[in-house]
Amino acid sequence: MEPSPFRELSEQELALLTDDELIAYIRGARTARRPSAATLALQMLVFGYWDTLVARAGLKLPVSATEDVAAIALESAIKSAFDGESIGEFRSWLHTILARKISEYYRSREGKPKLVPLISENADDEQVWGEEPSVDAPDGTLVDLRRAIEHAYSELGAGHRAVVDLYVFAEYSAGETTGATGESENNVHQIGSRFRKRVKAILEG
Amino acid sequence: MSRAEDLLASYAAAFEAGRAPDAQELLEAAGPERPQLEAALERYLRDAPRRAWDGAAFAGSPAAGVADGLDKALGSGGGLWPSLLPRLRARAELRRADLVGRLAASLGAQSQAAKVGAYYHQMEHGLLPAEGVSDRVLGALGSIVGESARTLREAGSSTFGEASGPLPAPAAAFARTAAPDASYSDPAADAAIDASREEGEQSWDEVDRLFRGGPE
Repeated sequence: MEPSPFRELSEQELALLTDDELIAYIRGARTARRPSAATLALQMLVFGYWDTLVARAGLKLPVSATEDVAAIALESAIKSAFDGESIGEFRSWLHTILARKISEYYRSREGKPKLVPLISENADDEQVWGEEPSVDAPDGTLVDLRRAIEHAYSELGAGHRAVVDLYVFAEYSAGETTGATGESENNVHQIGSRFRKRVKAILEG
Repeated sequence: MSRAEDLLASYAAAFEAGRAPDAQELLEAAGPERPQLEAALERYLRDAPRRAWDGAAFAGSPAAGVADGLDKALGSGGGLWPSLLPRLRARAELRRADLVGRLAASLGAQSQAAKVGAYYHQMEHGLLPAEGVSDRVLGALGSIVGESARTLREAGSSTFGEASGPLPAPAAAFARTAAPDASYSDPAADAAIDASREEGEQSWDEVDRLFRGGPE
């Protein structure tokens, strides 16, 4: 059966579409080689979540980074939607991506403040991440820590990385991480705990 | 109502009125209830529905720039580069000419900065296939703008699904000139690139290979 021909919608009609319908509409416009018809739908999708993403990023990041991270999250989520990845509900996916980008922001910076106390205290692995920001750790300490984290992280599969992104780096609760990843709360605790232990083991050589 | 609940309610009222309340200020004000408020704000924002369309508000919002970049990206064959690269350059507070100069120097191609600039111009406009750009170029570019080569590669590699690919020729031609940038483009460098494209790989120099010869 021939697919229905693409029909350009008015602003009022587009505003009534769900996220998935907007994405399907953009896809339809591109398939029909009418990219200009997709522009407004794309603008609605971006505008609709922009403030929320920036605000949520602002809970975890310095103000100077919030818009950048929100933009990257939007781009990645929309890219996934068009690359055929299974993303489920767009809004949930968008927020999962945002959490990952927040964690990447911290992992990409050597002075990852909340992780510094790991080396100096707390054998109890739920506490080893500590509380205090630090920018004056001994020379090389942060570099060693960063390498240990990257090493431990590189050993994980995609599913466990998602858990570590959210539960360890973005500081989601176990329940929230469960909601975003589908892992049970018990698994989330275990994955987080094992990751911390592994980082500690690497640091101790 | 607890202090955290009270602050959340005031935050939600301001947010839903289209304002941008300062969450950090509220978190400070929450005192010992800060963790509860932070968790409540997370939940509130995560569950917030898509904001109703407001064309006037959009026009004055940073979201307009993001949407514009994505729109260009969707219409190009260069994945997310048309959206990502200009933003990374802005974040690094670099004019394009300065970035190109540094990129050319990193690649040991100072004498061919115009050609490097023309290729970079094509990257920003999604006109250069990511699979042709070498890891060396992406590594150098990533160092300049503060992003990993892997992220740049992944961003450039998306085709946005089977229906995408470059725009039809007239639109691609428009994309090339849609955002004229006096600092780049250089007609002579463009012509040199076009000529090498027509003449084939045997006519390529090192800069052509770096930008079109593949990842290695």
